[in-house]
Amino acid sequence: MKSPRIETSNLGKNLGNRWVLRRIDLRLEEGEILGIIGANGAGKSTLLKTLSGLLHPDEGSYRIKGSMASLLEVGTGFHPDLSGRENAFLRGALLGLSRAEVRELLPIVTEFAGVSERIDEPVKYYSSGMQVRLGFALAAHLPADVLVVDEVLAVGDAAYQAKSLAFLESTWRQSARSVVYVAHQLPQVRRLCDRVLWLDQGLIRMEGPADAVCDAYAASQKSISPDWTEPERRRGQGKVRATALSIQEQWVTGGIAKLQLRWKEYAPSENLDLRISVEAADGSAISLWSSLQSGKSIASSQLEAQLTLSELGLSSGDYLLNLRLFADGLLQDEVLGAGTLTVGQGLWKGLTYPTPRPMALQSQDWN
Amino acid sequence: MSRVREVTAQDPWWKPQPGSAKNARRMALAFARRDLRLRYVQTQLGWLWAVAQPLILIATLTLVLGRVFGLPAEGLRQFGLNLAVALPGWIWFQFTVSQGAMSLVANQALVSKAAFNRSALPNSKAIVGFADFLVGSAVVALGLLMIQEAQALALLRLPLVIAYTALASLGWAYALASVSVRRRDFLAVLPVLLQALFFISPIALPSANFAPVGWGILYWLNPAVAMADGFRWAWLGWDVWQPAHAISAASGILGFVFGLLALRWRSRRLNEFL
Repeated sequence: MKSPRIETSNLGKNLGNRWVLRRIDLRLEEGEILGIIGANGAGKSTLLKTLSGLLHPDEGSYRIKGSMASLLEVGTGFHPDLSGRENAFLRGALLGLSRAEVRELLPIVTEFAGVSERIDEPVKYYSSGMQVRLGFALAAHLPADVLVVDEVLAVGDAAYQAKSLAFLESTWRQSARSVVYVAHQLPQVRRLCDRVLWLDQGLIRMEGPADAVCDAYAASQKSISPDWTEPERRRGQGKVRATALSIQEQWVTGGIAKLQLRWKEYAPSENLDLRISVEAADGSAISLWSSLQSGKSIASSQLEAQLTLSELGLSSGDYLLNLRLFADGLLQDEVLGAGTLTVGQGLWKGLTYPTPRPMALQSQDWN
Repeated sequence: MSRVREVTAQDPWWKPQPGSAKNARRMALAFARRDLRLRYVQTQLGWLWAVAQPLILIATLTLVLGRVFGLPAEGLRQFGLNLAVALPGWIWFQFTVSQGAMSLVANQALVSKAAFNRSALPNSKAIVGFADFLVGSAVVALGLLMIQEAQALALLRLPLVIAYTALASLGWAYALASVSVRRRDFLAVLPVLLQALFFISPIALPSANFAPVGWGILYWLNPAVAMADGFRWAWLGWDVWQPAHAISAASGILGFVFGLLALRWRSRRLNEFL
């Protein structure tokens, strides 16, 4: 049997007379991607810093087999007066590469980051996006056996993020590289990681397959119930305030779905827009329903409205509804987490549509 | 490749730091290269400064101090000779100590994110200072050749003195860098202390002519005494040694060992303080 890349035993770190990390036993096998999630202050960075050798454990031990590189905040730390090339050599040395190794990597890296023509210019003339891309590209191409990665993907614009995510997914999977990955964005964790460790106040709260741990974590985050009782404390100008959102019957994929909304009128308006945004349990946006889309104007004196979806375009799963009321384009009331929704399995355009995660489905025409 | 890193809470603090010796050397060179590149980025004369700086210092000190002491022409020549051979070494020494002492605090953004061997930062300053030393020494060598004072055989002693200078200055740099992580006041008074050290060290005059009365052993605890006289021994072939020089040399070597241990001890908790 192969020995693991990383093995910790009863690892603990005490900072300022407080145990910020305790009783951490984890194993990372060769080629495995382990995600670490948890609230701020749960000990994620302390764990990464300890494994990187930046902090010395106060309890227990760890063992790392093979070469390791730790990428904490890749986008920062370039020297503005040095060229991109010089900075790459310095960064490479920090990550354990020789100059020859960096020289070999550089063409691929600059190509990926899109800075090939400007690599000999001082970094101060780069846009912040270019700096971040260069830092990430260098980090992503490192030939280390074990990578420790903190929030690398929170960089660059959306297109670059998508490109980097796809790149990491394919290279990490193809190589026998082991990765410890910390992120706040659950969708990324689900997509990239095999296994997830949930840290809570320095302790391991849960460990297991990515989806199971992410679901449990997301559910724990959603326990905040919306405040229907004190409408004056909610955001918005308050011409109208919602009082109830009720979902009728069981919703199934592709079926008819009805929902009723009631409000109180404080000042009249002829032009209400009732908006319900749909989120998955992990907070990613799925869909938006808005009364403006129906083309009918709704007057505040109506005091209630009903939404009918003739063909529910949501796959089976759990969703969260956020409610916002607008009058003439201005926000009047906002109820986050106004309702929860469980969509059952049903037929979509006559076919079963089993998806492992909540997503929006759409009528479409292919030729 | 099956390098294994194993760390336990009970590891003693003097155990070598993370990162191989190869990486420590690579990092020191990378930092030194960065500093050298940056150094003359916005200057007009660039590298000429490395030559001009020691020349201006030697000329100023010779003329000013020579005038103060009212030296005759032959005395002025001796004085200038003494100063010229010791000065590049002194500049290197004080550069390594002052810059090395600051290096951990000045690079804390890097130090808090990457676990390289911490001695690489002070070491890089010693490398940069050494580059200046080489330029200064080339100027000195040229001058000695012109006035036919250089001792070809004695020059073989130079590597020994150079190694001693590196060790003695790094010891102080390590120790001061470790202390200043928590007590930055040290960095504020350091330039003054080094200036004072210049005046109580035999830089302009050999210790034979510069033995202060009433200081006793305190004077000889200064590692720069052995360094400055050592350069005279190597460049000019003078026999400068007294038994007390052993104290100075030992202070330099022990200072290095002490500094190294201080840095290891500090490295253990470094990122909890920065």
